[in-house]
Amino acid sequence: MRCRRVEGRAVALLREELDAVETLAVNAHLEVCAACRVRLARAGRLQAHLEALPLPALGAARRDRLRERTLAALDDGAAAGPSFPWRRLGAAAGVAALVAGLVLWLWPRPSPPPPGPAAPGPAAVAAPGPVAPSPGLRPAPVHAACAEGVWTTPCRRVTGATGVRADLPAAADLWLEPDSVVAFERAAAATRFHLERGRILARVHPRPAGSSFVVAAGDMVVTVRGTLFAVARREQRVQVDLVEGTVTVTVPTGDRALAAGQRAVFAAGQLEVEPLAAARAAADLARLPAAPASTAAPTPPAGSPERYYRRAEAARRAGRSAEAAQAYRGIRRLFPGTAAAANASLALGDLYLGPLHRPAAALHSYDEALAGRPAGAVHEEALAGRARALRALARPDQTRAAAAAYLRHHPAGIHSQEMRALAR
Amino acid sequence: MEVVSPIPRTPPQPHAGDSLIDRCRAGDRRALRELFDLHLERVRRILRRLLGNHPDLDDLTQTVFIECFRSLHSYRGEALFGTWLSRICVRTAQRRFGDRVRAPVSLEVCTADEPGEDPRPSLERRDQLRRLGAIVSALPPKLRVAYVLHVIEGHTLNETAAILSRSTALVTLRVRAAQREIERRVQEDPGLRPLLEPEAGR
Repeated sequence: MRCRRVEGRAVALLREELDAVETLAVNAHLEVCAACRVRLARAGRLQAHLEALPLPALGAARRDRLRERTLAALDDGAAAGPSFPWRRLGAAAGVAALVAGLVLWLWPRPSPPPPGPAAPGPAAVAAPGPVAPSPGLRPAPVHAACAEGVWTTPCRRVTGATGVRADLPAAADLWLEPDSVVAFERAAAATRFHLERGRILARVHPRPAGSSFVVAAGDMVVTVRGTLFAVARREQRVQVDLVEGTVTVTVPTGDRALAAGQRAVFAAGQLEVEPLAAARAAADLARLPAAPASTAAPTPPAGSPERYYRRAEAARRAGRSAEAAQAYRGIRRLFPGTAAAANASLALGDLYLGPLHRPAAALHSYDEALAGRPAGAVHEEALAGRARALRALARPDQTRAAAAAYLRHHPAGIHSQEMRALAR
Repeated sequence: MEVVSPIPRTPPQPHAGDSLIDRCRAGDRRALRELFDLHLERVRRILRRLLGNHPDLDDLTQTVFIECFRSLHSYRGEALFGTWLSRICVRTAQRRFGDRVRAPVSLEVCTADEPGEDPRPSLERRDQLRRLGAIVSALPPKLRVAYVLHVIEGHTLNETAAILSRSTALVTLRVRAAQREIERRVQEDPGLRPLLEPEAGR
């Protein structure tokens, strides 16, 4: 028996799966081949390490939702329901959101500011049986990604001893306590957080009519419109701390209005309301103080690149890729040589490479982004996009060169792993 | 000579009883739920090991089960139900091998769970495993599937060949190639090299 035959059977031999004849032959070879003995031992160790790779556990509630969703889809005759447009847009959407989001963050509201003072509006805290999805929202996919530790633009998992302030384009300021796991998803006028565990403190800015802001924690759903509140979850115990504004807590036994400075605890099917400790409220308030009125986002002036970005983003989120591309092209044409033009080129490249399936045009757009930004995040994304576009164009030599260029400039960049694979 | 101890074979997945399959074929909702619960972890595990941290893992899991439920009439019991289901998982995953998946990114610095405990060993271990997993995820799909099914999932070479509808010889070659590639990558990484040594990283 030769070394190559032994190598492929290493794990089978270790598991004693080989038949007697093969086992004898392999053992005979191992007696005389030190290299194969070493390889065999290493294969066994690698296998043991790989089996130890942690896999995220699936919570009972999520398993139930997935099961019922599957059975419902079986009845509907659909293999899988539609995903969010931005999810289908995949990486293009992610990168575009990353770049354009910097600009758009100043203008995150899709409609004019709500009338009246900035006082928080009413909120509802409901605790029905299973989590009822908000209109237009499918909870599972993003939730799954976060629970498994994937960090995409709109989705974060947080662990550690210090909290983290999340900069999510959700018209809200968020603070995630240590060891919290939260997922984020967004549809046109709905924002939803899934609190897997830990505590999320949110200052939700007053939202336009028709939009919703939801925090789901276990079997409790907290729907909010402009208030400062926190939801904490430890297993099946869910607690809502209300620092500012008003909320209505809905549980199977009825409704209960909460005022600022109250805490609602829902556990074992019972809802109890108690005063919120002043120190707790002060700490939350200090963590997320009210923003000064002067920081309210103005409406971008007509003809500005931001106005085009808003249009492009809205179209992209709605899956209207061609329209989004047109808006990005408008920015490039009207504001040549600016940072906005470079950002637009990058976003355009991602659209071409993704949903529009035009890798050659994507390559051209990435080149333009690179020309406009010789360094920085746009440069990094454009270099990575360039390598992907070349791969899509089936130009292996140029792909390797482009990936190597990325690694030269950004050896520890976010795409370095992917680029290393492409560079080989 | 290095001492090489046998690896205990991963126990076979519970065989979905014939009666359960028959009830599922008859459209019994409770049986479908039972079958789903029985094999959910396995399906997710295979998909995750084949696709890494894919953002649509739940969608793909759903797709696997729907295909499974719809094809139950074609399951003739010639192979273990788990093996048959693995084949559906592989087919589903193969359709998504081209997807770009973001690598996991650690957002925060983790600290010890207990005060005074030195977090470094467990952090290093976790980081090692994460990087090892990334190496497997970066394997070419054909090698990855063969390696995952045989080495990690515990299917025999013959079962893996049956799942992939390929010859055992070809599967053996792919497993060998995958092993070599993984070992090469591990050797290249000074932080992972100890994993190849006895009792490393344990």
